[in-house]
Amino acid sequence: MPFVFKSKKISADTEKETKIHPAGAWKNYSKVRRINAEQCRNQIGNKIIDVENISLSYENKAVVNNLSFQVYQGDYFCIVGENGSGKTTLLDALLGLKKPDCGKIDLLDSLKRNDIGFLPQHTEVQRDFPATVFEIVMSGCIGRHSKGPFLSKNDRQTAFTNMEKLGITSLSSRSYRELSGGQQQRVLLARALCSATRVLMLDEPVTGLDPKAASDMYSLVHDINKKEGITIIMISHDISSVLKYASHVLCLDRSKYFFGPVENFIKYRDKACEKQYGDDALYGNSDAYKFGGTDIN
Amino acid sequence: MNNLFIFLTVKQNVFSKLSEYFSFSFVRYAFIVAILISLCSALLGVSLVLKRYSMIGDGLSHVAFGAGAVSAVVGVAGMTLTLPVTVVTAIFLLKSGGRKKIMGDAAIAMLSAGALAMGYLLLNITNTSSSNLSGDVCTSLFGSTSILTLSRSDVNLCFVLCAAVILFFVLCYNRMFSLTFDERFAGATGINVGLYNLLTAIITATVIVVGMKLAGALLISALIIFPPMAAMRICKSYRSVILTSALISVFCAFTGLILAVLYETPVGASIVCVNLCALIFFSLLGFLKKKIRNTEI
Repeated sequence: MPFVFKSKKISADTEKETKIHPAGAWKNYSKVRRINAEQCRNQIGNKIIDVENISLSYENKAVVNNLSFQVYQGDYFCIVGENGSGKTTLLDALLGLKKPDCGKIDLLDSLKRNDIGFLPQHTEVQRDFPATVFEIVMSGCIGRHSKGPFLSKNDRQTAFTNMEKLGITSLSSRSYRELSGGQQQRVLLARALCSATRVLMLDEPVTGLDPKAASDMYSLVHDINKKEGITIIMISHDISSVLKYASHVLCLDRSKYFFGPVENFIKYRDKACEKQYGDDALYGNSDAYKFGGTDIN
Repeated sequence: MNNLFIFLTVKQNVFSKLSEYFSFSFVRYAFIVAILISLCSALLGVSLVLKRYSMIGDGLSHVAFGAGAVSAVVGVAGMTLTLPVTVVTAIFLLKSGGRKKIMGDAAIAMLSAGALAMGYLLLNITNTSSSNLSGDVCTSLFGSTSILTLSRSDVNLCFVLCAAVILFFVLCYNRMFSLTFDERFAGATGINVGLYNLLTAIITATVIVVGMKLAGALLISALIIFPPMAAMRICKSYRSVILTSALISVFCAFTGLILAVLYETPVGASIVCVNLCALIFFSLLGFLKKKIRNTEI
């Protein structure tokens, strides 16, 4: 199992690791962490993304420092944190849109960039964009295997399959700007699925949706994760749904990070709330690693 | 009956007049160049309008006027100076277009007015011979007759540039769609966003510099903006917007040029006015279409 392998390596090489990590992240890797991580991962897949000591900056301002975490095939991985804590920058780095200042991001187990689907946030341009649903879903096939200028029959088939999966086949020739927010988000999800064979990354997928559409969206993503085994990496502000669906949580804050299975995140959060005053205080200064999370800095 | 007879003679007069005009090579050149430029400007316009870059197109044409004035003063012929200066400005403007903080609409307005003022001042200061200065300025601002004074080499250059632009839009149709709709997603699917933005900037500058011959510095942005806007009134899909906008643009340029030749009106202004009529017509059509659909539901 890759997980145990990693742990062995740590014990053998603690000195070296600690040098790279001044805060000694791996040293704090307790037994609890390992047991919990294995318990909650119902089907243990291979490690597919390994992020090691990366630092990122946004417009010359450092937002993420010395962060490490791993993603396994089949995970439902949520990234939470305050505005400006570098969630979107981190996602850009994972997508290969941005180079980390230092550290490295490894795609393992023959995962390729082409296997990763992406659902970005809405942009202002899209609100009144004259394009049919089919055209938009098709655009997900560009760049995947089509090096040529035109799309093939195969791509059309992929687009149709994904539209069917999300129940938007009947909207296929409708204009995107006429659709409701929930339908638009389904279209963008279908487009993302055209390029997602193994991993799907979502950037705040329920922003601006009404509660019904939001819960529909969550259950769709949950189905994709469970039925198709596609790994989900999602940025979210909605803590209640993170707790409901996620298998792993990465919590970014300006000063400290939490990474671990969702059970541990609940404890981490409770502790944080105790220290702070009220339910809104999610990100306090607690000793995260005591609960099995990797607490860096 | 009498009225009909008069109408027929007038019509015959128009046709004989036209065929007489068409026997001149410069008139044929003018029509060929007008059609090519209008086709390019329409194809480019769809992307610019949808990305909210219309003002950048307008600003660029003023810069091109300034550069044209400088090259007239220095004594460099044709586009040798105007084109590179405009291309550099276009790259600069489109690159920083994403960061609205730095290059907002105020900055573009300043650039426009600055370039215009500088160009006119330069022309005035260096105007030693008592030639018709205001006529020259008027020509480069409104393109009054310069389209009818094209030489064979001008036509060839226009032809090559326009063919390159059209070829680019045909070959990169799918990628341009993806980029226009969602730049971040396009980047994540492996499309080289920077390269395509650079090419768009170069094409924008080229179309504006070449198009200034047809409509002049102040009116060329109308050729870029009117046809897509008119097409978007009635079209639902991106493909139909592109095709309709190209058709509208070519039709308006052709009609405007015929009117200008027949009634000896300024070419650029005539074409823009026909475009304006087309926009009003398509707006009405779009309004009626909406009405009909609403009553059907």
